[in-house]
Amino acid sequence: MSEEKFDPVIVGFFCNWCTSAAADLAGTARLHYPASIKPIRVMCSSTVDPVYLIRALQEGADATILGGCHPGDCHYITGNYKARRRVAIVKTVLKSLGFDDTRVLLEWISGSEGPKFARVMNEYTDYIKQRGPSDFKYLDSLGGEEVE
Amino acid sequence: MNENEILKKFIKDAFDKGLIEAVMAPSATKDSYTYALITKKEDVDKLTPIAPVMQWNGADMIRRITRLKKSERKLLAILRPCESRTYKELVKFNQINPENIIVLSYDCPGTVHARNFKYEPTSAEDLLAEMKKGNISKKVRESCQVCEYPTPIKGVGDIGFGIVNTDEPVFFSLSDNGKEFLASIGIQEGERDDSQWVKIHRENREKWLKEERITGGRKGLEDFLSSCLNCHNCKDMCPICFCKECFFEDHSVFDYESNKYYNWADDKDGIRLPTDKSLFHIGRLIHMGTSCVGCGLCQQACPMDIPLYRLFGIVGNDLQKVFDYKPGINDDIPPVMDFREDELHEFEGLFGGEE
Amino acid sequence: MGKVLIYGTTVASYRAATNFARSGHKVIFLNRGAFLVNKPTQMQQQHPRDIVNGYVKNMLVAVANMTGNIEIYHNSELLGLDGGPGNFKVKFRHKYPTVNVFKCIGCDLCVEKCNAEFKPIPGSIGIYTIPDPEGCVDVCPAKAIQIPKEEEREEKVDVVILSPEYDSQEIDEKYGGNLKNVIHFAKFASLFSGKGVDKRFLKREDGKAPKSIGFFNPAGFEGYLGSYEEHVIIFREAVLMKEMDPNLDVHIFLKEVRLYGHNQLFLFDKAKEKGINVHLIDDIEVKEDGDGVSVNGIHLDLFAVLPGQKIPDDWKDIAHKAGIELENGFAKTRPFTFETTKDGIFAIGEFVKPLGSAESIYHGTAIVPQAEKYLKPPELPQMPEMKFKQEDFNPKVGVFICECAAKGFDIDVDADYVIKKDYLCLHPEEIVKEIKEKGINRVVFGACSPSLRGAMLEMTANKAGVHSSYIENVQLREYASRVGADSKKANAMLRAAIAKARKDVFVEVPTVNTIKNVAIIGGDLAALIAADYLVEKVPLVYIITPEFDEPILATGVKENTLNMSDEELKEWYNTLKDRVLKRAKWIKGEVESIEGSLGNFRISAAGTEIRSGVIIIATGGDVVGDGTHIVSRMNGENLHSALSALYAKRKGIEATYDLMKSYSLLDLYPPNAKKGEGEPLAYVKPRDINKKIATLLGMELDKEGFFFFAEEPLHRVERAGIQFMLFEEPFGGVFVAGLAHRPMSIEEEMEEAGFAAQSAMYLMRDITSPAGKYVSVTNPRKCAGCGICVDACVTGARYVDEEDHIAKVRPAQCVGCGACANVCPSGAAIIKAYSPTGVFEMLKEVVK
Ligand code: SF4
Ligand code: SF4
Ligand code: SF4
Ligand code: SF4
Ligand code: SF4
Repeated sequence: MSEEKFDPVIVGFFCNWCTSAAADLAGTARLHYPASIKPIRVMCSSTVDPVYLIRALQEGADATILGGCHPGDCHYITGNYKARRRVAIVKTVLKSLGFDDTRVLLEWISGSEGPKFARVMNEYTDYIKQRGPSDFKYLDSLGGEEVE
Repeated sequence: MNENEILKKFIKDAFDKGLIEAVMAPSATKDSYTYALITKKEDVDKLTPIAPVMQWNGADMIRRITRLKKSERKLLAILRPCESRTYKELVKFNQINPENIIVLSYDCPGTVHARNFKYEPTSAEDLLAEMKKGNISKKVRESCQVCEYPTPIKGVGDIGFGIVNTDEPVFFSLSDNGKEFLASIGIQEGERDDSQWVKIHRENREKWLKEERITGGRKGLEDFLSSCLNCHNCKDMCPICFCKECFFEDHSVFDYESNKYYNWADDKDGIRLPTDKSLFHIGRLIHMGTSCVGCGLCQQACPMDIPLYRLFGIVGNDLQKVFDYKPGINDDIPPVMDFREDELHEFEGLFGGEE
Repeated sequence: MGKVLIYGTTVASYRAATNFARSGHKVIFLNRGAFLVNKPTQMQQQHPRDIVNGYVKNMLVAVANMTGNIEIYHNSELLGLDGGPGNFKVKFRHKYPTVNVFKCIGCDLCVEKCNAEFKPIPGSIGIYTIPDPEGCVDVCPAKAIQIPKEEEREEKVDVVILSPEYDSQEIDEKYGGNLKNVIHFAKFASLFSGKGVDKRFLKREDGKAPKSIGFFNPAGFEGYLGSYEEHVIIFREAVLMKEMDPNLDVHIFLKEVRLYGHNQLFLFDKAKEKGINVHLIDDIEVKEDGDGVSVNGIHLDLFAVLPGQKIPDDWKDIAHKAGIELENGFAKTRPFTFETTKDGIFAIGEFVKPLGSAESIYHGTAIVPQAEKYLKPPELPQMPEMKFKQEDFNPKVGVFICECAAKGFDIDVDADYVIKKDYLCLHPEEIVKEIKEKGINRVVFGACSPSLRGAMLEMTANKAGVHSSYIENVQLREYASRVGADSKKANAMLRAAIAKARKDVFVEVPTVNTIKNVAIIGGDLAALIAADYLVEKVPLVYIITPEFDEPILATGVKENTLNMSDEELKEWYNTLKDRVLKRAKWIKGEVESIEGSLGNFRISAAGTEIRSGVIIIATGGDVVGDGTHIVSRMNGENLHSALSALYAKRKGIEATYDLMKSYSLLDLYPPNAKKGEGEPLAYVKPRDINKKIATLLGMELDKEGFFFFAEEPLHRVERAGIQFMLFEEPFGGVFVAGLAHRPMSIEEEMEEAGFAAQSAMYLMRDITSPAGKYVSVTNPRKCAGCGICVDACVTGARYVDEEDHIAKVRPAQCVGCGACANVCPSGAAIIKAYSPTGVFEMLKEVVK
């Protein structure tokens, strides 16, 4: 796959109260960002089981984003702090085993930050494009590049 | 008297003084050692308090006894250091009710892999003799050779039994309960210096952490697990995996229609069956890595001899560093149960913290 | 059902309108701006980035939609007011905006065809303005375009609530108001509006990135009016700047540090710890300095000033038209109430005194019981009892595609039915018909966001007999067509929803029967005030206390803010006490044990067993020292008191101040002590009983021993943060009022007691889980009773049952955040509407 053609798939788990609202705002404001971003609305960033992030990567996502409210602004008061711990665990496990941990991104985007939402989506997609396709999806398969 | 006899005498005295009503400690079986629960002084001689094998994690056994309701009798449990750390960790997870339990732990010479023992029996005395010479026996399991805390720690358990660096074994208290217990039984608390014994283990560990790390991402992990049967034995034996039913065995989540398999095979140019093997191990790391106490039972349990402790121990070590948490050695709350407002900024955003 | 007219657009008025409507009263809401957020509230003027701005407004709109009890007029102006309580005739002028936002569906046709101007607004469809509405009326499929004629109207209402807006002061020349690179704090905060706090956006007008910034608030200087909030805002922003860029040189200049305790001082410490220079100054000199300014000799590239409050010019006029008196430029209210000098006319929010937005929220809540004495009994909206069939084992998925949202997409998905309509939200009947005729039992909407029309679509499907558990919403518009996505993404999103819908299971939302009594613990003045509000409205109010505190104990800055003599105060207090004790049940003694939870507390006290649905803690405090001013408390070596700190400073000791919030009017009439006369004053000491109650209820005390209540977790600072945005359930049925919470003035006691009482009122009903279909459950077969979920649950909805060692959920408290499901390793704690089975299905489709 040549780099130009690479069209990544990025799964975004977005908190209902902030990042999803920011995505709404980006939508109402017609701010374009790559179609690579596949949003899933969740009630809170703390709803997202780390296994979901891993599963998304394994199913074929090239990257995942978890979007929550800024510290202190969580609709459920402390959900984002818990989410941050989970992300820290996932990223550490990935990194520790030599996987690319930048394929899990944690971002705080508040409901009024539509432009920030679009910017982060653009920047992250660019970043993932540079990195190329994720190898993680081929875990436990015969595919991918490095097969004996 | 050797160490085991001293301990047995200690138990009998405790029975006599009415300090305990039951004991949990290892007992020999034909090919191995099991944990045994006794309630009578007459049965004490059936025990081998310091056994050369650790077939199960003793804390896991106490969990079974006290998970639902506190221990109704005064129980003395003889646990290795890793087991007493497990004990402490499981108390935090509400799996053990510590009321009415006295934990005694000792300077541990390590244990032999249960399967090796079956074919090549060793005695505890051999291991102890080696320890007293200041050597870690080559026979003991990998996890024992790199054990971070091979001796009793203050605050973990109640009574310590010191063997290294002393002519006669010594008893010392690890908690107020232990202090009281020793006083009631009429034992003078003693001292011994265990630093050398700890040091050689830590040196091994440092080296091990550097050299045995699984690297290389997908390839590294797949190769490491290539012979895994997906039997989930490692999880069953892991005391921290205390779940009644593991998430990764939930058939409502992990049963798929045939088309799902075919689609995967289409998309991934062929898949390995059974599926979700790596997901299981990564998932397990995510669930319990922060609390892995390093007992090494996962590795011992693996029928395929996969050196699993290199996976759980090393990644667990990384995880525990992130949260500045050491399972089972103090009263800190396990990372999965806690959070801080101002922490972990390096995990926010793409390049960590600063935007 | 009473009818209330609310004039003004403030955090307090938003909240009041929301609360009256929820309580079952009609509200005429006169917004003074062209549209809802057009007239900025105090919050927006001070800190435009604060999310509270969006929340108060969204909540108002949501409640307006839900209850139908709020009528909003824009561009309105009060013309006159006649009559009295129960029959006011209010005349006002208003002007329709060109687009009715309640009808607008955001289809964009007016933009395409009539050159409409569009402004995106968070949490709404946005604001369209049509240059020539006459010619455009027919273009709008939703008939939302209206001719903006001006109209005079008269409304008959029972009660009038005035809450005109705050005005920010200009930056005085003394503080560099005329200099380049001296900017209003709001303008500074706006640099990051919407875009996020990022180094790239920190730029001066000339495009240069400042390397050093200073923040300043003129509290304590001549002519300043303000509260503590300005200081909280400044410290938070300064810390944020330093966290954003540790190399930034950040300074804060203040004459007085108005951080009143409850960990607000934590902000001060944190600022210092992060390397922010906090300068406590006696005077200030701002000069031009090369390419920046110099403040007291320190060079800054950018200087942001958050000035205080100005009394707006039109307040006099409003007061005149309403026939009420002003005092010091603010609305004069009668002691212990929001009622102005004229019966039936109330004043709340920044019209009364300088205050923080947390207090605005208190005002907007505590006003309800006060006004209700003039209102006819409320009529609560009857929620239709929805019965659902459970025979849905055979999923029949109907996908409804809104062409407005799917513009330009080639929809290609596999479902039992794929139905396309031009504007789904304009044809609810057709949706109902299709669902019924085709026997659809799983519905996927490919339309717009649930915060726009999506929620209404869900209700439509409900009407057709499809339970919310079986409805999935795909935001084709905001997440796809409006952001430049392709058909591939749209189809992937739809397929994911279809896959999930097939796996959706029925979730019954539990309702908890509650005990409709309130127990008040403590004999603070706040206890009596709260009881006074409640005795008439709930069957039984218990007050558990060995004795009641004399009002002087609970008095704040008495001589400055209460126009009452000691005798009058005493008389008022005795009448209040008599009135309350005639109806309430006084349990003379201390609380011994508390069990149970929201809706169902069992309290034992003085040998009596008490059952109540809600607990209000009002244990009061002790005044140490003999001053007439309760200013604050001292802590170790630091003098945490505004006034004692001033003394200390004069003696050359560095001090931080910790003052009560009602400081505000002290700006006008500084007490003697502040002028440098007299001696340091009394402070409030929390009572020991707090510890016991906190233990019994699992609550937290601050380091001094006051209860935390409604403090937001970040630094535990009280702020009109999220905690006020949630409805009452998440407080777990426990409210704190008065000196148990912090040192406060007698009026603040009234406000907090009112907040507690009114919040308790909302809970005096059987409580359906606020989580709705996201309610959490435990699978007992899997639960190991480890309690990880219990620690994760922020509302205390989870506990491990000692009997069977299995985690249980109290549905009345569950808000559906899902934190428990996330942390539970074995998947025993689950949110059925968001189960791993469904999510895994979605992931598979979404990544294809
Ligand atoms: S992962 Fe292995 S070493 Fe760690 S606690 Fe479990 S069984 Fe012991
Ligand atoms: S892997 Fe996770 S779910 Fe499975 S037993 Fe261990 S902790 Fe429980
Ligand atoms: S015990 Fe060994 S073979 Fe069995 S699942 Fe674990 S790693 Fe695989
Ligand atoms: S986290 Fe899961 S297993 Fe543990 S108590 Fe809660 S529901 Fe039970
Ligand atoms: S953590 Fe679970 S039980 Fe608690 S509020 Fe959130 S969803 Fe409900």
